[in-house]
Formats: sequence, structure tokens, C-alpha cells
Amino acid sequence: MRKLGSIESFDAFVLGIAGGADVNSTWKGYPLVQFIFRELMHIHELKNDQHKTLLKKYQALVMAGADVTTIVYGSPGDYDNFFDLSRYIVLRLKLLSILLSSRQAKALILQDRWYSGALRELQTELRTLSNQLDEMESVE
Amino acid sequence: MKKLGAIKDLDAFRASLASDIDVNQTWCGRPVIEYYFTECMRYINRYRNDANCFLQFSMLIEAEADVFPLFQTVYAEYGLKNLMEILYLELEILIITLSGMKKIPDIAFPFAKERMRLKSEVEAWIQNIILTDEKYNE
Repeated sequence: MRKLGSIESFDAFVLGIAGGADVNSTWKGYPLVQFIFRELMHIHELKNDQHKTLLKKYQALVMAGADVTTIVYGSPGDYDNFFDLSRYIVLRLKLLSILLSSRQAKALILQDRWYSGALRELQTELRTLSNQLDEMESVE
Repeated sequence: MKKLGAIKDLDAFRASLASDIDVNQTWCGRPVIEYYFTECMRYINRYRNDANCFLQFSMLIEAEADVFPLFQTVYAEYGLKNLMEILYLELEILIITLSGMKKIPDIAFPFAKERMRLKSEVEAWIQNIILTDEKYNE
């Protein structure tokens, strides 16, 4: 059976998982789920559908029960872990918040369909995250 | 008078803004607001170490610098659009990761501490990013 890490197409990737491929297999020296997480963390500009496919693969692996322990705790000296992701998000929100304190920025966003839509999507995403954090508190 | 992009000291930067300096001047060939926004993005992406850029960007916003360049920058990686897209992607990654973490039986400190910190940040930002409330439509 081909290793999941070598499968480029998302459909074939999901079929591989459904066919019983090991979701905790390794790829290039890392657990595959950690490898994909690291790839996602190195994206600093969204350019093409490859990035979306990568995210869908990551989601498929986690939903199929891949062990994310290495992502939570990382490796010594390794930035690409849960806490680093959390840092990225908090800092980007801080930057966005500073910008939103500008009345001109608010007006420009409200005038533009893409920006106002993107801001609403962010808000929805943050609410989802907030609910998820609440759920986790109840099981801690 | 020194240009705003060249002033690294925060007090000197603040003092310059308190004088009649042009907040819409350029630095390195682009608007200074865009320069400091870029520096913030580079700090987040770990390409630089000095976090003062956040305060300088904030001071420029308070001084009512023109933010329009951030909406149309040619430096796509450091533009506002990219900030929002990457933020959305990272929130998706985090939400997926958290769903996997629920299955780890003994997940505890330091995660619990980080979860609480995230929760308070997220709640604050939800309030901050509301488009439709009265504050936004003043």
C-alpha cells in the first residue's frame, strides 16, 4: 500500500484512509500529521489550491484519529507546534485590531464586499474556536 | 528632521508624531504606514526580532495616517488581504488541531494554561471584530 504522504490528490488520499492506510504513518522522518501541520505553518501567503488541499488532508487525518500529540508538545527547539500556532494567531489578531481602530480602515472595509465578508468569516471562526475551547474546559 | 521609518527609539518616534511631521510620508519608496505594517507581519513570521513595530504602527494609526495603501499594496504577502486570509487559515488549523486534542487522554498543563489565555484573547477579539454593532457604525 502506498504511504499516505506520497499521495498528492485529495480524493485518493481520502480513499487511502478509507482503505485502511495507517493515519499515524511517518513521512520524511515525521509523523505525517505533524509533517502536514509544519507545511501549513510555513504558509505565509495563500496562493493556490495546493494550500487548501493541504488543509483538507490535515483535517481528514485528524478526523480519522491521527495522534496529534507531537503537534501539541512539539520537539525541543521546534517552533512548529500548537503553542507557536497560538502565538501566530494572537499576534495577527493584535495587528488587525490595531488597524480596526482606524475609522478610515473601518469605512474602507465596510465599502468593500471582500473585506467585510472576510471580517465576518473571521468572526464566525473565532466564535467556533471560543465554543471549542469551552468544550475542552469541561473535559479537562 | 529624521524620517519616521528611520526612528527606532519609541520616545523619539512619539515626539516626532507630536510635532508637525507628515504621517503619510514615505520610507524605502513606500508609505511609512505600509512599512510598519510589513515590519509587524515580518515579526509575526519570525523574520525580525523587534516587537516595537506594533507600537509604532499603533501610534501612526492614532495619528490618523492614511491606511488606504494597506488595501492595495503590491507586496501581497504583507498586505491586509493576506493577513486576513492567513489568519483564517490558522484559525482553521487550530480548530482542527483542538478537535484532535480532545482525544488525548491526559492533556493537561501547560495546555490548560494556554487554553485559558487563548480563550480570553479570542473573547476580546470577537468583541473587537464585530461589524454590525453600534460601535462599528458610528
